[in-house]
Amino acid sequence: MSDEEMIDRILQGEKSLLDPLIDKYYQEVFRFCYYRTGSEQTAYDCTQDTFLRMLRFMDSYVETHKFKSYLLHIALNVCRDYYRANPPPTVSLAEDSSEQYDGGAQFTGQFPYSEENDAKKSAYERLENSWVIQKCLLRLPEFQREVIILHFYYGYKVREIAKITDVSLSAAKSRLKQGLGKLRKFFQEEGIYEEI
Amino acid sequence: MKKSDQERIAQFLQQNQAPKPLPEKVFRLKQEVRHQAESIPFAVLQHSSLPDRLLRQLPYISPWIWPVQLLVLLLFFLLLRQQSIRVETLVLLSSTGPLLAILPMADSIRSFGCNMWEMEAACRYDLRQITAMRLCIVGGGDILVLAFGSCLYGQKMSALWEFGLYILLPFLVSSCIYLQELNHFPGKYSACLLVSTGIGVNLTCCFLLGNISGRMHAGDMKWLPAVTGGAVIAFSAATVYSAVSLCTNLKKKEGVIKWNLE
Repeated sequence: MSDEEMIDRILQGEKSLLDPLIDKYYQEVFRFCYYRTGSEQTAYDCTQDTFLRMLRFMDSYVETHKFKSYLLHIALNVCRDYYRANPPPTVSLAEDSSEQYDGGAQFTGQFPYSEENDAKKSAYERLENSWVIQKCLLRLPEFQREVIILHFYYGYKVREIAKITDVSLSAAKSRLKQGLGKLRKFFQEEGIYEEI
Repeated sequence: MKKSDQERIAQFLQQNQAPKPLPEKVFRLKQEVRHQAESIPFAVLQHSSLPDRLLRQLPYISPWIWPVQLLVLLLFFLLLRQQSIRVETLVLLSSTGPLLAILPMADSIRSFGCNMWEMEAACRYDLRQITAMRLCIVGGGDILVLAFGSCLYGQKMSALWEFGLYILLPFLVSSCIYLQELNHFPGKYSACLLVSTGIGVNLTCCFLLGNISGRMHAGDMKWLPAVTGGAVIAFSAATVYSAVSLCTNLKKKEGVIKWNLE
């Protein structure tokens, strides 16, 4: 069943179809909110708000765009509204990323050689990289961050991104270009860009 | 930025993967959604038929439009009842074309004065549907008047192409111009622009048609009937195209506003 058919049937009273709709898109919306906000708890809250808002205005959904884009558009606005009410703290460059907690045991930053520790070390490096990358993403201005997320994590072309973010094509292109430039600079400052 | 740099950044970004959402959170959301959905009566208005939607729009159309159309109809009736229809009568009747054509536009531009289109765009029927329905209703009235006029005319003269030249063509040309103006210059001063265009088209038509009729009496312009037929077809297509463009552009304006009403 296509999304449009599902929505049509929900609007005609088959509210049991809301569950499969949520199952289908929860992860996508959650991922967007996570990348956008940087916090798992906030992502859960924003995802919930997104679906509730979708429900409230479902009868005004116009079948001109894909439903996923429609949901991401709502999620984008929900995240922006969230930060208008709760401005995030600034991300400090001086935070030391070498101390990490590994399942409760305190990590001292030293790995004695062994195969198990090698695996732990690469897992740690992946975790650290992930944390650094998320930090760099959060340093971007929100409009550029949204475009970067939609382009690199969802594979949307610039034209589709312009529709989702309600801007002109040229504005979307400019935000992507500037966002990429800044991201590269942040990666270089963190010392991870030259690694590959 | 080079493509290779973009690819590298893409690879970096892929290292940062969002965690999988917890099943209990999904379950809790479903419960909340089900609970809220109980109190929402979903409307099914979007499945109403076209005649039903047109009837719903009827009360919103300005009431002065109908007397004006009746007046034109009366004019047709009075002037075309004459035993022989003079050229001056036809030239006078040609001014009814721009007048009839401006009626549906005048009703549509109400949305653009004072930026009412923003509010209408958030309505259940989007603005392009509202505009298209109103153009259909009032335009339909115009077509009925013209059809009645052509029947009256057809009884008197066998040369129906004269009706096309003196009445249909001015109507179609002015409709086309008005629709293009609404499409490209919507705003507070649309009304003034339409009225001044209407006066201009009217004067131009009267002047041209007066000259044409003079030359026809002299025996020139034997090709005129064929050209008139072609022009009527071409301008009919142009008018339909202009109306569709107007509605399509309205759709572009309004689509965004409907998505995330707060």
